[in-house]
Amino acid sequence: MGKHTAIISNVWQRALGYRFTMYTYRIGELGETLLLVVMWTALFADRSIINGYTLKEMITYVLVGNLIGFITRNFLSELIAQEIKNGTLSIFLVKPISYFRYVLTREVGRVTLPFLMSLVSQLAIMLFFIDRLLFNKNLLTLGMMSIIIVLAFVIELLLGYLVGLIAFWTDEVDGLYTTISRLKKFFSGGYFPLAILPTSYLTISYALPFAYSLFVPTQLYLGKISLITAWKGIGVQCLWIVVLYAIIMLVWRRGIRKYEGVGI
Amino acid sequence: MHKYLRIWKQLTSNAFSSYTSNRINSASFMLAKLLRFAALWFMIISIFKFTDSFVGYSKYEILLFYVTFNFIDVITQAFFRGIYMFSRDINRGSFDAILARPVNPLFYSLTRLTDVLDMLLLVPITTLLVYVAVSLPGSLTFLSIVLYILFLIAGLLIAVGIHILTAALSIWTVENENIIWFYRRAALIGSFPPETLSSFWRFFFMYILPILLIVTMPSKALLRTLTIPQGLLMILLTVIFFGGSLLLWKVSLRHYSSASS
Repeated sequence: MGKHTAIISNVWQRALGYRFTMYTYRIGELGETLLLVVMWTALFADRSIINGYTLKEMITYVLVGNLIGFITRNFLSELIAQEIKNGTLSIFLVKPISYFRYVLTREVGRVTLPFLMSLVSQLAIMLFFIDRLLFNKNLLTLGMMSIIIVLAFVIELLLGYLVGLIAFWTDEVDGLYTTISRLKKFFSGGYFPLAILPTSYLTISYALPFAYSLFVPTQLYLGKISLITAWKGIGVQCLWIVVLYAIIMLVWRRGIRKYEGVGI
Repeated sequence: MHKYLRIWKQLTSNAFSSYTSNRINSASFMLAKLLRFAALWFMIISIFKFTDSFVGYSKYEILLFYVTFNFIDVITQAFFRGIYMFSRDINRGSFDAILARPVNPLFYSLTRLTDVLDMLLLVPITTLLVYVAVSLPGSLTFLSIVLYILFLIAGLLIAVGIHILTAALSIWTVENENIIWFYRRAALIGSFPPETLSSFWRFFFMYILPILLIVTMPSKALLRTLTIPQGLLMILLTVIFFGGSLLLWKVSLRHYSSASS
């Protein structure tokens, strides 16, 4: 446990060295959320319901959804790719801790600080719009939401790890990572609730892992999907975790054979 | 002028070689850019399935704002991407080497990286811009097209002015990689008409941090809803803002302390 805490503490110290960078990033990040709130508020100016959503539901969707989005994200792939590219991976291969466990722990450390900052700024925004927010006090629903969010966080970590491993074969993974991020944002309902799209898109989204990082937990919070649908979602998430883990192990075994430790 | 054109051609050629050396990554980035554009386009189209107007604008009018925003954004990305590397130069002290070169440091810092992918992206964006323009309710006039182009240029000057401002701020704060990203995110406001915002924020983003002006004025010129005083004010603000950013750059340059060298 001690070595894991040390990893997290190191990452925090490094991040806090660049506070101004961190603050501007957070403020910019909130801008996107606010833009969506402003846009939907303007759209609801002359109507009370859009595709089954009231203004309060839509604002709750944007704010709660973004909060969950912040909780589940990570920046793992670029770090792994960098370590493969510049040969730093070689150092980890001889350490008495598996690389998989090391990077996952380090990433938890890396994301907790931005997460706490995002949480504070996001809660401040939510406080600002408190009269337009809906509150769900059902403990069972909140409990289910928490399970979905934790599983979504794990899926995002595994996805980030997998994308990073592609650096065994190609020098750069930023492009691939950005493409996946954009696809993720679309299929997770980050731009708008997936419910306003045709049913076929919604069906595809439910089968992919992305919707569980934002759309599904938020819909559950709003009471727009049943607990049974949520249970099915948890099943899909577990399946994705197994599939992704299996792919990671396969890719790691193939990749490590190809690894030359260039750049040490 | 000829010298700078030659430098730009060489820098663009370097960028092209860099992009072609990793085709998979470049193709992925291109796909990501297209996806980002398509997602919001798709959102606007989807919204208009439930409504006929958005803050008083029709579907194609809203799309005009959105495509104009992207057109300006892509041009600034394509030609002035170098500014994204500026804070790193300041942070590492490598800006010293740029200052020692026989070239204007601002020109070099702005243009040192040409985003070839964004240059390619200009093709579909321009095509969509023409498509949206001809689909607008009411016919286009020669004057509205000329005014659109004129205010588009003014909008571009403001956008470049903001890029210069972020570089100037980098010199003062040393560590601020995200200021330019802050602008990129804030600029998203320009994707929609100013009427979306409350009067306070509309004023703020029109006249204090003129992000809204960049897209609103050319779009309104094409829609023929721009008044003469508004147009004249836009030109005046462009001159003040662009001139002010150049002035701030010069002042900041005098305060450059070569922190990390």
